[in-house]
Amino acid sequence: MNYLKRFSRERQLWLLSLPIILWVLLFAYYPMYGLVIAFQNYIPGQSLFGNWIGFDNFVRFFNEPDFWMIIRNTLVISMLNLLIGFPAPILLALLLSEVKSKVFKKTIQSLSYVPYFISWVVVASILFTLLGSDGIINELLVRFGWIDKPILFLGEGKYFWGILTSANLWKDVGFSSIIYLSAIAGIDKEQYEAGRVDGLGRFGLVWHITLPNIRATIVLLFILALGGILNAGFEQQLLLGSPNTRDYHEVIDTYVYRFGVQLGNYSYGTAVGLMKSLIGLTLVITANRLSRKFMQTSIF
Amino acid sequence: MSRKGSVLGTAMLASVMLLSACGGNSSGNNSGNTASEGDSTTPAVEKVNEFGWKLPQKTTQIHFFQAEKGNPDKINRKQAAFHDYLLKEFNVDIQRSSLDVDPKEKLNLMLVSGDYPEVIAAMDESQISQWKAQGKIIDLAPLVDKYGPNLKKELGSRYETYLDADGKLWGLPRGWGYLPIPDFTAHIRWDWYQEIGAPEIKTPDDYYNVLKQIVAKHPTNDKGEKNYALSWNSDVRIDSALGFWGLKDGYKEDGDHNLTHWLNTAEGKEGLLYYNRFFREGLMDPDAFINKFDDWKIKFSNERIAGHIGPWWQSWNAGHEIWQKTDPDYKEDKRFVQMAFKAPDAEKAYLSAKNTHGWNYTVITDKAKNAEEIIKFLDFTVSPIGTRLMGWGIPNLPESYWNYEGDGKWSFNETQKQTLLDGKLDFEKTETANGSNSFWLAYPQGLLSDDNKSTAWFDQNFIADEKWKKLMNDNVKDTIYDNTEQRVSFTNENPLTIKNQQVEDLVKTGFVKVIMSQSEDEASRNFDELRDKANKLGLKDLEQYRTEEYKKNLALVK
Repeated sequence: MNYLKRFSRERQLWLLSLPIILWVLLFAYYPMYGLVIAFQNYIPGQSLFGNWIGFDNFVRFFNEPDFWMIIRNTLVISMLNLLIGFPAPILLALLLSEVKSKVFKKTIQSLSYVPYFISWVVVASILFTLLGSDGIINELLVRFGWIDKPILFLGEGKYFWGILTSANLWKDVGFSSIIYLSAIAGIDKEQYEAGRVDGLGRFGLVWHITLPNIRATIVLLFILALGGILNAGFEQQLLLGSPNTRDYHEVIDTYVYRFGVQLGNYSYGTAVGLMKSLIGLTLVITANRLSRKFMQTSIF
Repeated sequence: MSRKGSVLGTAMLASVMLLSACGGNSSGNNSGNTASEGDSTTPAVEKVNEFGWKLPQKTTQIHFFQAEKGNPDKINRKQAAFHDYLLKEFNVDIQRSSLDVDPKEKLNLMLVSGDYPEVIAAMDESQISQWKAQGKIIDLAPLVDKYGPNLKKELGSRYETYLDADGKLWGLPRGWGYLPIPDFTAHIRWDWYQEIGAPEIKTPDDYYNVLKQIVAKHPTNDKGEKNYALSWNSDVRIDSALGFWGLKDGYKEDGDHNLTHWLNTAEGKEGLLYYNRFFREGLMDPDAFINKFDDWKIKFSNERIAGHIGPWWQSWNAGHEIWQKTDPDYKEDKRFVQMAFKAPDAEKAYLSAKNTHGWNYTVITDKAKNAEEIIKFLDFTVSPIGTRLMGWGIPNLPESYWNYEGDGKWSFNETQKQTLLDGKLDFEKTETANGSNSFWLAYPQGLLSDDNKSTAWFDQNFIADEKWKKLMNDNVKDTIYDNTEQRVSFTNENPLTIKNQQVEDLVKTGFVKVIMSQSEDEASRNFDELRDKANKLGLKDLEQYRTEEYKKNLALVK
């Protein structure tokens, strides 16, 4: 009864939310019925409710000869993105918020967003120009006498993770900083004045006022980022990878694409994708609980 | 009506019938390739065009999806004029559609949604088996029996190899037949080769020594960038690159037709160590395995490569076709010439594998309202004159590749031929006007049966007339071979399909690792390691499967 009363009281809000709820139901929940094919040997055009094979597709993935290589690559690339790519926009937002010149600040801010809108195809082309055996970097290194012959940055797997992490950072850091900049802009200016009166310097203000105020945002985004820990990229690997680097670039998503979609094993691809999503969901729930317990901040 | 009127009317009707019958026979006999010989329901009064095609009374509609990636705008531009011509002259409304997406995904979407056209072209065996299992495509054998005299005549004994165990025909082959033109070769920068006296190249070592000498003479290009003796790009086919050591499409065949993968042969190891030598000595382009064709084209046209291994057209496209336009002092010797050699112990080199079975298939779906009429037209396109029309496009225009006078008499358009031989033919512009090869549904790419020298590819008809193509052909003709029976299909339901993909992935990565090894010992170790890994992963099972299929195919043609 309480729920009904509450619903009645908040009916205008519910009415306003209705289009979004419908959208989510239609495009996010309705297609999920297709997940049943993860437990079947599905053939396109045939019934969605036949040919059940239980957990065979999941077992098959764990028994794949490349399983450990794929999991290792996925986790390493994701962890690098999380360790470097997650704090970088916070740092950029803090630095930008300290800039006094509005023109300079706006210019840097706008320039930092640009890479986000460049497609990976173009980024790959830029990287080939920079890092190819005849690329600018090798040319400079050879010209300065630091190396005798070009380094095969794109031709040797050992460089792949570093290149990918750097490219992801360059591409996303500006755009990801927007949310932190808006969180910082919402901090009451009187807090800074009070801090200054109490003798805080610039670092003190950041440490004692800015960071605590944006903590909720940081935690929220961190929890969501944990949910995507198995999303290590897809286009990047396909565009920058080559047979030379396969041992370092093959991740779950590229594997699902090649063995699931390209070979027509949709059930297998769905099973691996479902497993990935379930791990992501578990991580989000766990991180949310830990955050609620230890930091009194959570997203649900 | 008076008696006089009745007699006059009957006489006129008899005359018309006689004339039309004569006309039909005349055209048909001249071309010798009319379709619908078995059609007993055709009305007596029919119009027969100059190609001997009996125009259907109701327009035959063939709107087909071609399961190959293609830019829809380009396709529409190219087919528009030819579509109109065929509609006007043949009463056939034929239109192709393709999309810029993975065709496999589009076919699956069609299958799930039930939204697919009457005809689908370029389906592989795996897709055919999928569509057949769900009853979405029809058996063409009864239609071919009734309306496909040309199909049966031209395919000959090969026809039986397309039937399944129950004698059913699920698809008509596209691009079948033997076309003895080279694909894969070794290439050499011709003017530089002449400069050092054009020493004879008979073995891989000769090729290595010559390229090394050339690079010693031309260590850098005009911009001071390092030149390389050997290069290729990510399109390189490992199996073909090992053909110089006598391996056929990557396999060694013994007297009993057993096939052994190159990884399990001494020849395979010798080949990889050969390429590794180039790498170790700094003679190989270090980006050979990551060069996409367009990037490689820049490097190539910047005159940084002395030797190349790959399809013949790559060094044309990236070499003299660019230099002709950019170099004001261009001389015709500045180009790459294709050549072949073989390892001393090899019986011969096998570089261009020809699968005469065809690229893939055209199917008619259960949505076809008039499959008989569709088959009749496809049958016409398989006749020699029909193949010429479909392959070379609209005749008798200034932009046409050929002229057709009727009565089976045809000739090439000498102006276009000369433009081609001069290397100045603008294919895109010309083919927008004539529509050449816009609707490749069932006809062959092999030599046509009436003269045994024409082919549907216009530009491949003049190899003997064109100096450089003739040189290429003379150099490498012995390396072209028919490997039709070595074809193998990995369908979705085949349990070895995944294993095959896993082994291919492993081999691709391992191939690079062996070639990029820093010493011969390391390369040899990496090769052995790769072989053991591949065998553990199931390479032996794949060898066995391929051998069984090969023997099965050989038995079929006997």
